[in-house]
Amino acid sequence: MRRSGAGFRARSSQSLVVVEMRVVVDLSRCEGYAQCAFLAPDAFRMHGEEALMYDSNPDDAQRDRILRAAAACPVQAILVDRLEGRDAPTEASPS
Amino acid sequence: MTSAENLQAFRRDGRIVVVGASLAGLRAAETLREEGFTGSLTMIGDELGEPYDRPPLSKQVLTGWVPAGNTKLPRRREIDAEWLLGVPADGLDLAANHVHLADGREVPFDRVLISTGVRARPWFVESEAALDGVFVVRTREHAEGLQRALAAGPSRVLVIGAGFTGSEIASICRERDIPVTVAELAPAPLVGALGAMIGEVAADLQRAHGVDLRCGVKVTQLEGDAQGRLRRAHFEDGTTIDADVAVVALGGIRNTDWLRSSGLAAGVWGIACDTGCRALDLNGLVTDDIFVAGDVARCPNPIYEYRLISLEHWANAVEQAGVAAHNMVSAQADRWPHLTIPLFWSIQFGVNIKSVGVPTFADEVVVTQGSVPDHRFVAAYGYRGRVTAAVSFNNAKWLDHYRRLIETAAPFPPPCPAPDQPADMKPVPVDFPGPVLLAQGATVVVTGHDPSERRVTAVRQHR
Repeated sequence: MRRSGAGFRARSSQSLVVVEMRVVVDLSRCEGYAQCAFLAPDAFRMHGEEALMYDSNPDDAQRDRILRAAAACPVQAILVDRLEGRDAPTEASPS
Repeated sequence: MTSAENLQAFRRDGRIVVVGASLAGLRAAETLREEGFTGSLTMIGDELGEPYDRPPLSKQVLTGWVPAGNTKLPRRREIDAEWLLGVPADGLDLAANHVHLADGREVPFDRVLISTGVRARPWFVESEAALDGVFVVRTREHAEGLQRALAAGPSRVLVIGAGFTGSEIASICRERDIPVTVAELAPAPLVGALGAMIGEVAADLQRAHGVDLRCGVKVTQLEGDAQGRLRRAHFEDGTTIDADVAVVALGGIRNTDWLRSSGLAAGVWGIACDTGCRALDLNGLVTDDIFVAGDVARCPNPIYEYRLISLEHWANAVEQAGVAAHNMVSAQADRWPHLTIPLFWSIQFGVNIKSVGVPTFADEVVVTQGSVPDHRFVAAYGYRGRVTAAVSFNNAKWLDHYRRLIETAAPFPPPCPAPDQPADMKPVPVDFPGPVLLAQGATVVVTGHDPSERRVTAVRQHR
């Protein structure tokens, strides 16, 4: 299965499979406006007044909020995956 | 065939190999496809798994919030590559045009991009580095191991080295209410990158957050118990400190060893290249088919007297990878120079520290706005009367202003651009640690007398 280990992972004791998002923030561009922390607080958190920490691979359940946060970023520093890991390498060593 | 036809054929059916499948390698691969390269693309990486982001490893991963395996990088597009992961490259043959892998395989190429990055500098005594409780932080496995050790509630963490990574880890320890000692050889934290004035501010910041900061000290030995667990560290002055976790944060080593007999200008300083990201050979001649990007590249920067500068900066890896990839599939006349003003950030003790420019390229520094005691200010760096860098503490919105000052060679000291002018705006000497602390040693010798026979030869270092 090509997508195993890439876009899916098992969560908790239930065998529920959840798609995760990929997010990266260009922190050299980020100026700490905190719009993202307001719009998607489970994925973006302020550390002190201005520094941002974020969840790089949040649950897909947060997708709408995260896309809204990315769109609202005044310096457009948030990059969200466009393809959900379809082109990923397998986790095992290549032959 | 004309060279234009050659280029078309290469863009259609050529073979590109990317050695180093992390941030720079991934972004380069995406750019190659974006620019219409339809030939074969091979990604070689020594780590298994998908390319992931490293800055979170010393921050949100160590707080326990984001699992170490969850920093996989988002993709900008499909790259349709063959991934050869888990095996490092151990040689580059420029005569046969192939990359040699550690398992014996040979991967042929028409053009190659080298983006092998850096690895953590290990503790210098191997048996002590192997003690349970001694860590470095560079890969997700490192971060995962350290996160687990921090979660177990150690009695004390010793951080060896107060550069950015060491300081960030000390900050996380305090956030998790773990007692932490930071040992630094230089007179203050961050002093090698940002100079004495900011170093003093960083020292205050650490102490205000309860870090046991010891500067001008050298850790000489890590001592374990009978079970091989770290128990204490010894300092050069004979004192000791009990700790069950030690984090060795002594910077990185550029991954260039595998290029030792390649004939490229590669060594401890990185791989020299031109601003078009083409590698230089040992003689300093530019090569045609070998490109370099990311932490391992050492590129001239015209703003800084064309000095060769290597940057371990996230944004530089992204930008340089884009330029390198563009140039790999473009005709000479369409190539771009990588003309970046370095940008860097660090998050520690609730402060967002950012820098623009090259702070070590300076003779004076001045606080131009804000208040140092409030840890909200900007300091500008100048070299011979022009602005060359700026550092902000919780004042990132202003850095773009200083970037423009650097790009336009504006006079130093610059005026305060905002109403928050500090009371005292007197420039002071920037005061970096002397060359004895920073020296790397010679790596080449020149042989031959006649201009036609003068050549540079690499010197093997015995360390």
